[in-house]
Amino acid sequence: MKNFQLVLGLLLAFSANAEFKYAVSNIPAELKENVNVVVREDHMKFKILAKNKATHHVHYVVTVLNEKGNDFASHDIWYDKLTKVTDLNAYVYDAAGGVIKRLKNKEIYDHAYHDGASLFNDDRLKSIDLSQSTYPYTVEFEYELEFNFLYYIPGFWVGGEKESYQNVSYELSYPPSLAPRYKIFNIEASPNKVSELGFENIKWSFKDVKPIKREASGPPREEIVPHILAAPSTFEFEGYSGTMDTWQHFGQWIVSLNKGRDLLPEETKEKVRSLTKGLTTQEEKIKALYEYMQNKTRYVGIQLGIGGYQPFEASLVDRTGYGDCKALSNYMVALLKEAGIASNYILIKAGGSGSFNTDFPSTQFNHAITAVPNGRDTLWLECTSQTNPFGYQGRFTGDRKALMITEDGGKIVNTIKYSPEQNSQLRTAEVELDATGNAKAKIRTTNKGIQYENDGLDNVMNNVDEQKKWIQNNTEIPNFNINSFSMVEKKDKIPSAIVSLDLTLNRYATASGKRIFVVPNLMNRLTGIPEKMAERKTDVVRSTNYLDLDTIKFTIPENLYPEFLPEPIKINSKFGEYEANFKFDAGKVIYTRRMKVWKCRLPKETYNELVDFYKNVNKADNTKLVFLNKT
Amino acid sequence: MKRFSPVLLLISIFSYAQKAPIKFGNIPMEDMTMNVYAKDSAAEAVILADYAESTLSYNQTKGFQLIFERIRRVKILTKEGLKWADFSIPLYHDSDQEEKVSSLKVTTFNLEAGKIVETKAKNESFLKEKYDANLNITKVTWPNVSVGSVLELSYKVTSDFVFNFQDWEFQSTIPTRWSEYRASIPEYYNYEKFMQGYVTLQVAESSTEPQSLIITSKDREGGERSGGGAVRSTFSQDKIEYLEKKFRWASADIPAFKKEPFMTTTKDYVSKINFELSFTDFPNSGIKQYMGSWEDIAKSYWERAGSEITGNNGLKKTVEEITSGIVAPDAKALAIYNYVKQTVLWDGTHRKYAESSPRKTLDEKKGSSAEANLLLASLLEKAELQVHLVLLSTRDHGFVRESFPVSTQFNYMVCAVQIGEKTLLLDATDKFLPMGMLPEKCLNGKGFLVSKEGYKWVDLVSASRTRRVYSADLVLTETGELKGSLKIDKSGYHSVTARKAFVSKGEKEYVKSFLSTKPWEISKSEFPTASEVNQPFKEAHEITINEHLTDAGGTLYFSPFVVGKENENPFKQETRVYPIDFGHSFDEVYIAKLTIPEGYVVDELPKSKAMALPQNASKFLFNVTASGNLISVSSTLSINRSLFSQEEYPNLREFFSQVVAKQAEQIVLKKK
Repeated sequence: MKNFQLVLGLLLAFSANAEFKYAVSNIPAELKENVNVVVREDHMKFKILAKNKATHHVHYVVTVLNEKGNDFASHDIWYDKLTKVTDLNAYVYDAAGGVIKRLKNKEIYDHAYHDGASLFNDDRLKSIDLSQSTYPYTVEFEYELEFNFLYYIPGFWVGGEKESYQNVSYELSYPPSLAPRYKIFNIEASPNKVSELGFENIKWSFKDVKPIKREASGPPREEIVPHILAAPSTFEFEGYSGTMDTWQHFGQWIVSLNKGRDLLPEETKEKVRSLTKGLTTQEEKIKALYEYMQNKTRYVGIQLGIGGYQPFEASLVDRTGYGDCKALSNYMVALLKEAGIASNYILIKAGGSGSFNTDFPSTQFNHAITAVPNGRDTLWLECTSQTNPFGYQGRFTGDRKALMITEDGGKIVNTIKYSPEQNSQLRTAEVELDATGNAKAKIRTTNKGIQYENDGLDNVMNNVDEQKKWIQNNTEIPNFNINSFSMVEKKDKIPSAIVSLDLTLNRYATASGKRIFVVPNLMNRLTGIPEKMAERKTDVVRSTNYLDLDTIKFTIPENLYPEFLPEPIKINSKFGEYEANFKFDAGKVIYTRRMKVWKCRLPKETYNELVDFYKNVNKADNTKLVFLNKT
Repeated sequence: MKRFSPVLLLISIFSYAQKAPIKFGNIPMEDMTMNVYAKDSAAEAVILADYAESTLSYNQTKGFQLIFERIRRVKILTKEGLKWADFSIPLYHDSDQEEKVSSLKVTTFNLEAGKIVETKAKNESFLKEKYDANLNITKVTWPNVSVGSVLELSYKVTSDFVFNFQDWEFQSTIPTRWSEYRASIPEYYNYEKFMQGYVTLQVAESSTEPQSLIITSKDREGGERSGGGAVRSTFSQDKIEYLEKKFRWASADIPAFKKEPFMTTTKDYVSKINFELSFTDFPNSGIKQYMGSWEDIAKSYWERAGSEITGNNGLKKTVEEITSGIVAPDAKALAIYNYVKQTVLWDGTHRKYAESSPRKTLDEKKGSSAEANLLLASLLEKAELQVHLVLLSTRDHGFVRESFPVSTQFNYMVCAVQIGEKTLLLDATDKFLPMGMLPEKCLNGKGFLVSKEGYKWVDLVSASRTRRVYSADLVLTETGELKGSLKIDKSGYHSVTARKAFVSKGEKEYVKSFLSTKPWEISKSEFPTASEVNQPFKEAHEITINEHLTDAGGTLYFSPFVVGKENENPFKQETRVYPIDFGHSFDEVYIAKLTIPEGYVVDELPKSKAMALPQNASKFLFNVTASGNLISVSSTLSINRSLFSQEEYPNLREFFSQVVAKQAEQIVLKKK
């Protein structure tokens, strides 16, 4: 009973103190415009205690203005066996700033974190949901994480699409001998520096930050939002110490983790010798070993502690036939080494835009691959896929920067970028139209380069049922029946897939009395026009190169003739080129379409040109042919 | 074909003393050399055999426990099939009961130079995860797996949860060559069993056999009570004889389960046998009912929930405030319904039992579906309205089987209020739902209405029809521009979706997303009923369309539709295995008045069309007429039934095919 009173006393004292502080009336009006939440307080303090010990203090107070902001009232606190969560407290306040609830222990849902890819890791979450039904309300979270390692320092972002910030700060605290590095982006304010009790403290503070919106086809978020990246200089992680002031040193630490993990059993060495025996070129040998690795192994993500950064030993992969990206890439390096071929372990930020900050050495990667360096002909080997064509680097890791780990340390390198012509989709079709508007079509489409991955095409190549489903879902014809189909894959370094279709098109043409209408663009019409913008603020960024070529031949019944043949269409812009032609020849209408777009970055003034380009293409793609009945 | 002969053999010589259909590690060479599974050449892997037996076995300290023993053998046929080399065994526990796994064997068999090579998983391939307070997961991954490998697994789960007799799925997402389940159940336990799915079992047999068990009891004598002296224990053993029922279910050549569009949950379609503990009948303790009758379920549910409805008298005051000045019962109900929807935040969980009282739910302003709806019921009761509760199973939870009185079939509760002759079903978890509509997830067959008087089954249908009506009034100018007004009325579920989008995006973004694929300009938009949840969601736009027509030297072509047509057939597959479930009936209506410019005359119009499937299950009416310079278009597509059988699929597909084609037809104008 006494304890209970004490707690209640504290609670009252706390609420009395905070009564006015978090009242919604204390938010400046302009911060409430066009937002769902106002982050009232967001204070992060990362304190380095030793080269393998740190604490991370979080104090976060957010006012939720409407139900779309409810996500901000839930919080997932991540931890693992090297990270402890301490002093976790959370409160809910009403609009006036009075405490209406204090988080109870049983309301914390403690569970393992499944990332969807790993079979097993030791990541856990404490999940808390304090969302309310009466708006506005305010939630406060405060806790500290104790890290029994030092490797990663959380960064800090100030600004979101639908949230504003009132009082925020980011502080680094450290003994002078363990000074971390940091880099600021889109920030003008200068930090406050204080020394006390043997610690240096550096703190950035921000007040009243309005929402920052990314524009469609605009630069990535990191170019416009104020943020800070930080990383230790010297650090230790489960007994492995290192420095990361340069990419070279960062890489040296990775070398130390991988050291001695490339030993292969004698049997496998023998296997390497027999696989490469008689092969003359280096590329043939690499291919043989890569395919051996693909057939022998599969991806199984198991990541515990330092295992998040250190690969399994090659011998373990060899014995079990599985591993994660690091383990399999390390294994590939070991196999190549055995064949006398020098290769490198590569760290990369895979998926999405894949951009990482090359000017700030720190852990920014989520994937590992293998490379056999050879200037422009460098071979990139994705080791977690059993089906990836040898030497092909698709959307997942292509066209970006990566960190190559050499004996000497880390080096920034570029991965493969394919030209529009290499990312092509070539289609020819013969469409035989009958007088009722039904048609038979024979279509052959070759998807090459990254277009080989269109809608997951590359993933269905080994399964006839999945192929059929892919055709049903991705053939943009209103009504069709599949008579037969085939898919053939060419696993070249720039791979391609040939999709052949024999279709019956029910009522493809629409008949109205004596006329028949046909959209000659059989199945490649562009949709999705970028929105118009009154005032464009940022550059226009386009990220892919591709080329589409369609040639569609329509055979029409003898008694029909085109009432009207559209003029050829040609649209040129800074973003791409488009051409469509309509020809009538010996009872056949031949439609050709060519569209090429490229990766580019152009000034904001060109945005309207982008909108017009897509608008005109959309219009051109919907052009109709009209046939008249002679009789 | 030889490969399949063991199956036939098994059926023909079956007897209860028969050995297991599969022996761990004993793999026929033809399974090792198999490249393609002949019955499904596309299969990425095939379950060669999946065999399990559940028994209730007596344990001296814990009493009867469930023992589940399984052997599964999988053949990997393609690289995509490698994902079958990971396996998880979930193990539940609570304060005094648990599930434990033992005898876990995981082995890979590969063919190397014509010989079968065996790799046993070592410790590194077994991982134990403590998922949360009630669930541990044992994960296994096979070593040394490549295309062609045969993976074998065996394990035993000992469980204290005798209620949860392990169900058995005969069907998987890959084909299964042989699936067999056996059960041995002492006469003391009675489970109801039912099959579901589209696969017929080839074996379904049972027999009864005498069994016995020995119970050892220990009696202590001496010790403290007699003031010192040695403690002496005597053991007595009782042999108990009982009957055991043995079951065997099996099937061969089960096709892979493949999901189709317009389905509820896959759970409803996969072939499976389910168990529910009905009653226990131990000597000396009599029958204990677990699954009674629907009457019992209704009664016990009402005992638990009914008092919460009639109790909580403190809520009377709240009701008086909400309904002050309101007399009509339906208006009272509406006021209370709106109040609960506005006040209580649904926590996202589906429940049939409320854990908090209505009072507490109101104080916390947050709760599960059951808590929100129980509060609603309690408030309605205080307004002197007649309320009942309706138990149901949401669409992702599966169909309810009326012949099977088990309350676990339900996972959700809504409230039923009687207003005059009408019974309205109310759910307070979604503030955008008009009164009398249930969330779409609740539209799943029948609901179980519970009241003081007992129970009855009610159709889970909504009071208002789902309808989208486009009305366009457009003038075609000589420059080829279409200009005018477009009104859209969305009722039923369309109103819920639209209002949700409108509120979450805001007016500007809502209009923007409406325009996203249309090269139109909108000069003005109005949403007169945006905040009136019980009204259709109405939109009125002033639009200009530049790109709508083709001018071919004096001849103008354009589609009668500016919006609201079916662009492609939603049914792509030529054939269908399972029924088609739309959830609810609906209408799509488009009405347009198109004024053509002076100097032009109509050359051709699409022909009218009327068609329907038998019993008007679906209906399509299309009509275009011209009078002077005015063209009138009307198109109505109605789906009047929520469920269509797989036999009706070809008709339904053809129906949509004709709709798509008809709506694609053009209007042709000619210069005078």
